[in-house]
Amino acid sequence: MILQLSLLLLGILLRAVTYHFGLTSVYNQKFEYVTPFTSFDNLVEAVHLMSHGTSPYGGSHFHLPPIYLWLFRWVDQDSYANWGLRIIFILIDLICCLLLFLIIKQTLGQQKNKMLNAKFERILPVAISSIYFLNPFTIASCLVYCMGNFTRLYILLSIYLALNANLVLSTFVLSLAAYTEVTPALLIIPIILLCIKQRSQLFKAKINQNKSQVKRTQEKQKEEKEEKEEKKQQKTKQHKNSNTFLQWFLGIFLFLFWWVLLLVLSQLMFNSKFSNFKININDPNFFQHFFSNNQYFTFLKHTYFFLLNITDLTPNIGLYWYLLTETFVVFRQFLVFTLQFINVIGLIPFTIRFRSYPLFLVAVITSSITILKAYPTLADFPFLFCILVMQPKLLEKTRYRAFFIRGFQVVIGLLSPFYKIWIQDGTGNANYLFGISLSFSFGEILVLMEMIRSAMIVITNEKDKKKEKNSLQYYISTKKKKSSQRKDK
Amino acid sequence: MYHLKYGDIGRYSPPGGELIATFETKEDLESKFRTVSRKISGIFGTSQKFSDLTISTQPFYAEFNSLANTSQRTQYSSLPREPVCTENLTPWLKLLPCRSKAGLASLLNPIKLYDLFYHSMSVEVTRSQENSLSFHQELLLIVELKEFKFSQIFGTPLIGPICPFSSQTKIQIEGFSDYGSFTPTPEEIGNNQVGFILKENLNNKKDFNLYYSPKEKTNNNNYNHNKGNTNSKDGNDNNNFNNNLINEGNLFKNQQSIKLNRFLMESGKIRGGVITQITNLEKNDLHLILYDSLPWFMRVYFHTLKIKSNFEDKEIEITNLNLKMKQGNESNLFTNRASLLRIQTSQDHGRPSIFELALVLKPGETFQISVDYLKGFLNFEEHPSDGNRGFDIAPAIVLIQSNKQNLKKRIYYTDSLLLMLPTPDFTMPYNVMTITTTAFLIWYGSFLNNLTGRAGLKLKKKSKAKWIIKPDKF
Repeated sequence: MILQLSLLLLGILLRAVTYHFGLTSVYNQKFEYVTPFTSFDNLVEAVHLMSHGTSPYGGSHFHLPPIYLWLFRWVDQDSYANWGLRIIFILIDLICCLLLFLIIKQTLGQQKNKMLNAKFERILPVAISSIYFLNPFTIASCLVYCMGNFTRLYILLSIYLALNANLVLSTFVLSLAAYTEVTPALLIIPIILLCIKQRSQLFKAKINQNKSQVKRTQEKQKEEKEEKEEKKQQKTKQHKNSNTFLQWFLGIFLFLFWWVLLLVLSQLMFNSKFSNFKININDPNFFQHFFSNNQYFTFLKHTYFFLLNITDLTPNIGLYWYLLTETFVVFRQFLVFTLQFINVIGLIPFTIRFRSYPLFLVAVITSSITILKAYPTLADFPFLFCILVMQPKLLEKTRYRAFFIRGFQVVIGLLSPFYKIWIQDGTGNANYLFGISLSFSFGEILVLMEMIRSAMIVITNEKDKKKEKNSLQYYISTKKKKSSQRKDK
Repeated sequence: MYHLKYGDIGRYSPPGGELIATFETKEDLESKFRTVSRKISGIFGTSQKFSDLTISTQPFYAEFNSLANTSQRTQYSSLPREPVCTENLTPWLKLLPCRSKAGLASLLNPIKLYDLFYHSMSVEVTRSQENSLSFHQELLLIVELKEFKFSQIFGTPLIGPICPFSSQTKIQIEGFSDYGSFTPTPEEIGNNQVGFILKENLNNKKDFNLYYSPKEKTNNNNYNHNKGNTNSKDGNDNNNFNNNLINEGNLFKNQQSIKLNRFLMESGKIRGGVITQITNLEKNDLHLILYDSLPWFMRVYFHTLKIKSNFEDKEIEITNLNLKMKQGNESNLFTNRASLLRIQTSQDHGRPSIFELALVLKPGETFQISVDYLKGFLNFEEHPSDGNRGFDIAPAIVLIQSNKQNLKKRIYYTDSLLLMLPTPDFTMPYNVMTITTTAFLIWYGSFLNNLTGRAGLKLKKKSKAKWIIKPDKF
């Protein structure tokens, strides 16, 4: 407990110190942490434009949905040194860290086969959450007020809520993530799967509790109770079948409902004049105002379309920017569609394969979304790692660990100099940065594939064991039957 | 810069080409402007047809011609990279009634013309209220010579006859009379002007060769000092460059009212700032409107718009009239020292960003207006063929609004800028496409392989390479 608290304090202290010494201005120029989507400068500009009665989405700067504009309507150019803002971003990281800790602890508690090293298992939750909280990439993204931190918080929170089988809230939090960045909407399927699984487990646990109580207190009325329990189990099975369908329906409906609600809310805010976010329902022209001259949902073009169409070709650590810079304009739409569709296509086989392991499915989909983001930051990298090791059991089966660690060290180290020699010094050309960002994304893809492979090994091993068990039981039972038949003869 | 030296002579012009069109409707301006620009580029052989939505802008408060009333809208476009050359001069001369066969136009020999220090030409067509068209053609040439002949500048002397369609052909001389003498001696031509009215002189097909020789250098120091640093190689003159330039304006009747500077502040190729300096050279307050439009790939951060004065240490507060003007509350633009009249934000691969400022400058005051930008990245097809040369940015425009001291309503232009954008490697689009799509292919391939194959069991099984032919069996 002392260790955990001291680590948390250390993380907060590190952030506070770096804030105090004004490292924000240094890191604000770094392309690894500041993308057109997450940049805080763009938010300040949007707020400024709004105060001048101009649409905040003009100027091709700002691309977050309107609710963030409403949340941060008080920022201006001087608020880089605002401690309130700093505390908000420190809190976001802190909550992320705590959520990771809780999630990993819960998954470790649930798994049946213990890991080889018990001591290692004990420190795992603290280790992984502190890797997220204390690594320089997360601290840097906290320093530059990276707006992508919000999405990370939402995803972790919705996973945690789903682990506690809270369908309503987890879909709400997920819809917030989807509202911000669209692509997390794909997570709705694994989240619902996770909810259903956790709920059934909770149900089982309750029944087991009941059983044990029954055993302890009323051993005398055993026979009567057994009959009743059988009936109960039959009921639960029926209940379960009807319940899964209901939960699927409810989950998707709730998710869409929250999302649409958020969009409508932001439309109301956006349309009721840019300067003051007051929604006047008593206004007689309220509905006219809402649907006035094709103004509804114009922000979608600058937010979701911007994310999906990858209009901004500013260099980042992702895969798309140089590809779309170097492709002929004729092929652009085709390429964008095909590449953005990878996530959707991948969703189906992943879901079929890992349907009974929803937590891993969540990890796979989240990491594939973060790897194939249009505007990724370096802070997504530790997040990816932490999401993938939410089930630490899989780490034992991965290969080439040393190779990956060294590779990422080299690649991340080279990102900044290669950017500098192209943009700052003008001595190198764009191919340097392209090569290094490609190998970074390539490494991430390989890590994900390695994790999937190790998951497949674990799954097949479990299945084999079950099969062996089943076949043994079948063998034994058939033998018994045969012997009994012989006896009868 | 030449205007500082020679004062207000002729029409001010930006580098390259510009097109100002005023329409009497507000509707469908863009398509109308497109037809106009295409026709102009057809007539004069210019590239004005490229002045599409990404370049052309609509000024609201900066009135480019005095005719403009509320029902009219002006569309403005500027092409700073446009070279003006013989191919533009020929159609320009064709518009004259006698072409280049007679009159002053016969002097315009293209080979000599484009060898000069400065030249600018313009055509202005206006329709008056009685529906009559007036056509104004102007060619401004600047030659820097101590002594000259007509035949030396243009290659030929002016040979008669004068174009019969012209009612008057006039050569006007200003300012030089104190420092040198002309042969033949200029005459009085009315309105306190000195020069020649040529119709009478050239009726008999005589040559007319004007010759100018400077005076003996009696007041040597004074003269050289005033002449500025173009002729003298003395380094000391550069220090007093600005003062000299201002003094030199006194050579001529009309001194320029403002001095303009504009430059880029950049470190690296991704962020930067545009700085515009305006100095008031008049002896009374000036009311100015600054009209600045920057292309979309300079993504302007309007919250960084700052104005500094050399009289104050503090920044000058910019009052925002944008909202008030929309509501129609404010009518006087110049109540504050600096007020922002209008913001138009840019769109990616689309319209440029515009801001219009109303400024009040005290005599001798310099305003430094700075704004930051973030560069946009272009697709490699959008770069010009000489991508590493940079992009020319059209100059900002300053209009003097106050009409107190009989100041002429004039359009002033700042310098144009050269913006360097980070370029991709133009040689290897196919390599980039193949390599990146290979990464995506590996994504597809390995996840299909991992999901369909039974990875765990494969490791345990031994290879069944039974089909290999063993050498023993032979």
